Amino acid sequence: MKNTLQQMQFKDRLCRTLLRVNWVIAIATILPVLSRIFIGVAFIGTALYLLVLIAITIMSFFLLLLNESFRALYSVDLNGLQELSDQLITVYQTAMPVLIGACTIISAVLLFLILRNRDPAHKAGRIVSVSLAVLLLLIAALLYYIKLV
Amino acid sequence: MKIFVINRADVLFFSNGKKLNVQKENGREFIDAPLSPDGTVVLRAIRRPELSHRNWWLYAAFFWIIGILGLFTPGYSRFDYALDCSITLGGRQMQEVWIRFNHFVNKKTGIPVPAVTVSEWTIARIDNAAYILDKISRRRRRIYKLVSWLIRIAVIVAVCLIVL
Repeated sequence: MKNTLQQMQFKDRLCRTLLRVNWVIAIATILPVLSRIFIGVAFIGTALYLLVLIAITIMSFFLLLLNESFRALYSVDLNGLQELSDQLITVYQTAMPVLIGACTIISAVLLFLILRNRDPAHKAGRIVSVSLAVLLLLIAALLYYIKLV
Repeated sequence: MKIFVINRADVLFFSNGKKLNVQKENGREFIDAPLSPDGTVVLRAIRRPELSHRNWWLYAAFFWIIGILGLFTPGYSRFDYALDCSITLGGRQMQEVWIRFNHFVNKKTGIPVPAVTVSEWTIARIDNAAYILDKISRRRRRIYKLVSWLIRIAVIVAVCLIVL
């Protein structure tokens, strides 16, 4: 009886731990895509920032332009972000196949454990969670290999 | 005999030393308990904290490693109470039978609160229905937490030293 209890607790903990690790890996695969999206968002943010700056300049009847530090606010450089994103994509050329492989193996092990477990508690939820993680992985991999590389 | 179970959490059911599988019907959990020769149903409901087992440190270390420094390992339950109760039900019940679990302990007054109750008008006898504090499990959980953090800090310091 004690062994059965311990086995059940072990399997449950293993499922929960692997689920979390699986999600971490799935989220890690989407980072290169997110970095590109972030640059896009940064561009939009910069445009809004410049609009606000122009509005303030107009409201001050262009007198603020006489101030050098205010003029310096107009220079915005997003090249640093672009370089960082490019570096991340380069690193992921090696890391992506490893992450995809790891996530696939862990998902397969998880599905095996979940389906073999006769306890119905959390079964459906865990299967949905694994499926979503795999879906995220597929989307990340597709976007990476088609759009970014 | 079909017995519905409410608020079971991590309690397991045994009958004659065999584990009973919990099934689901319309969102409700139930167990199909076998009748003993005298027409009664004898169940044993057991709940033990994970860290109460003998080789707890081995399992904890294993999950700490696969959970990447224990950061993605689910925390051990803070409910350090064990339950080992015996429920004897009459074989002929006039209505639907359910067993409800209560995961509450009255720490202020110390008056034992029944952990297991059955549906009204159910012919049943429950022995050892109260939770018992597992001090060993509580101590091990605290040790695990302390050692876990110490090793994490040591790893971070080691990595910083290597990198720098």
